[in-house]
Amino acid sequence: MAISRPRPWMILLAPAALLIVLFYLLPAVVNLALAFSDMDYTFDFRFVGGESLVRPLADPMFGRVLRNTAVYVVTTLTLMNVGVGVLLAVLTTEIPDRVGGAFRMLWLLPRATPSVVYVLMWFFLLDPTDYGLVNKVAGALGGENYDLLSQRPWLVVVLLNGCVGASMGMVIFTAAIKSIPPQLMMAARVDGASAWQRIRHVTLPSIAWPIMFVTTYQTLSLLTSYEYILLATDGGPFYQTEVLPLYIFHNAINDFEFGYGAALSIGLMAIGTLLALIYWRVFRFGGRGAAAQRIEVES
Amino acid sequence: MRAIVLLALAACAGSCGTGGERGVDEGGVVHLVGWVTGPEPSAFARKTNLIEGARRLNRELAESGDPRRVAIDVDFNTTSHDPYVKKLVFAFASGRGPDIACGGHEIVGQFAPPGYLVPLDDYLAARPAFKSDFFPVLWAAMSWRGVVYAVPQDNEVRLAYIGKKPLRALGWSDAEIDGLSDSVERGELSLDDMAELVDKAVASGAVKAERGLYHRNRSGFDWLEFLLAYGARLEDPGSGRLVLSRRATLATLRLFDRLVAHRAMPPGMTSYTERTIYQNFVDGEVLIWLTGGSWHKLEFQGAFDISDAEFRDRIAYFPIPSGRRGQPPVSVSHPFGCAVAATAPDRELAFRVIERAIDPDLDVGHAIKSSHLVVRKSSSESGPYQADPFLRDMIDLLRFTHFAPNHAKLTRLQRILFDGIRGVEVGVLSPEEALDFVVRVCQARMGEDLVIED
Repeated sequence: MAISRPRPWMILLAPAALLIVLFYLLPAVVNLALAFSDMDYTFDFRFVGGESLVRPLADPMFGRVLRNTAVYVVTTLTLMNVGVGVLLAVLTTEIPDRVGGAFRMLWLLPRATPSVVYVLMWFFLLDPTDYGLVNKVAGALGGENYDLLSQRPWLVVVLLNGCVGASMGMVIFTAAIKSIPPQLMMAARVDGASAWQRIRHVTLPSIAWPIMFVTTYQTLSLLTSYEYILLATDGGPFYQTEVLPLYIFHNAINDFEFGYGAALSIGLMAIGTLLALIYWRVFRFGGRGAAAQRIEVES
Repeated sequence: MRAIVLLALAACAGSCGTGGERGVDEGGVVHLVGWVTGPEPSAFARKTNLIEGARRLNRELAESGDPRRVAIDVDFNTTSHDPYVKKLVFAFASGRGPDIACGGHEIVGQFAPPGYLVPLDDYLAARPAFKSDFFPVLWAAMSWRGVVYAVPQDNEVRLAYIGKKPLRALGWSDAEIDGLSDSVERGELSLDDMAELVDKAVASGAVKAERGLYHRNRSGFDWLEFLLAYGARLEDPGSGRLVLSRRATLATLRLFDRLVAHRAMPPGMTSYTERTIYQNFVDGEVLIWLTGGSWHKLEFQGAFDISDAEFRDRIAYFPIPSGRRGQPPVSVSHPFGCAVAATAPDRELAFRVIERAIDPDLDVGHAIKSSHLVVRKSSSESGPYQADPFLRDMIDLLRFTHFAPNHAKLTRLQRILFDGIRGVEVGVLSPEEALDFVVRVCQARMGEDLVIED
């Protein structure tokens, strides 16, 4: 039997396909297999069937962790990663470019800072005693010490994550705004549109597609991110900020429950896939969504 | 499946590295890799003593005409103990673990069952004088199912420190302060009495509100002290299973609930950094540092540059009072030990390195440098050790000490208990709800490894 020569597209795709198999497919298959075991620190593979998969239902903390995950993703996404991202992009493109660029560069600093250093800076700000900068300022103004990490952990977690997350949206939205044909803005000005009307009727419709992309991407990203929460609150106080990926980390890595951790990961993957499909459908990523974009300017 | 997981781990371990050459080289030199952990820098002699032990062993081998020699590369871990144990788990599983693993005695319970450690009974039987020179109770801590797997490296006691400045502000005389530890030892001051003392300090203004008492900000052995203080047992000797006492757990949860409700301690204690905790306490702003250990004296002195005399002027200490008046206090000790890995290229030489590394002079030197306790009887009688009043007192407190069970799931139990205490302190749970939480999570996560009793 003659062996056909590989076609050029196969050769071009091979390196990427190999990486996908090694670092995406294989771990997913191993994870799936682990989910049917009760592997612990001894690394013995004992097949337990679907026992691990139904174990979350009997886990007293699982419901709370799911609720926390929903709160974390929705709040951080809407308020910070998209909300503040859009706000920063719009504001910094409405001011002189040099100032706007400098401001955006400053806002990118947390993303370029190692996570541990970034969280330590928050600790210096929020230390619950007189040593914390926030409490120092509050003290100087006659206020009392406030322990935000314990009493408002969600506020801290959302701000801490969001300040990093918003920068991605900011960069993408800025690029999208800058690519709006200048004649559209000029036409709006000639028509007497105010700044708000230009933003509402020209800028925002023009960046609808990037907003959909960032929303989808950041949802999936937030769903699996936990390092800032681990460093800042470690899921506490008392599970108040324990999200699903962190719970998986705690089970699999702290308690060496690799089987249970893998089973929880399957749940996380299922949630992520479901949300991706929903976004695909709602945002019509199939192609019609982008083509359907148009800008209307009220007369 | 195990093979795939271990392959992945080996790849990871390969990138992390275990440090140093290993095996036997062409010249017959046995290259060993040792892992020790601090994290406190004052415990650095855990590393240097192993290196010195290898040097002494080589001299001994040369003198006896034995052509073998050892070379050792020791890694000193500066993170806390839990990440260190994690590192050991992955390294052993991937076959790239150390030849000599030193750590808290729970490494025996964790790594002996899967066969990663070498039983040491035969080596010890051949050295009766060596074995009998250690405090006997330490061998029990180094054992799993009656077999010794590690040689004690050092020991400590956990205790409470108390600031003399707030006590003096409360009107205590120096004689009363000096007699505090004795009164705890006689059972005249219980945990409830201690809580009342803290209340008084806050009410009188000797310390600010929420500065009466601080405790550690994370999980650990310390939380077991309170269960013991309220009369619980931690292990069922017959089955080797861990034990959780509902009554003692509830009493512990109520104690911390009361302390927060009376504004004796901050509800967000667990969000305080260690630096802040120590700074406030050493500055005399806090009455009691409840979850202290013997090593903290040197940590305080090192971090805040205070001399022995200043330490004595500022700080006193006492064992954890009993929960019941009239009963003796408690302490939990967390002795460290060194074990030989089953994969060591020469197990006997690895054991002999450990044997020499714990020579009495090295034992004493490390204890003095790090505020730990010696593990050999002859060391405790040595001049330099006896000359240190603090270390003498610490040895005395060993009368009240307990050892945590060598069980692989003990840290999980500690974490669940700690979560319950955190829930109470931040006001999310009442003590009764927290007890229900602890019991339910223990049942779900510990299974057959735990007995829950009243």
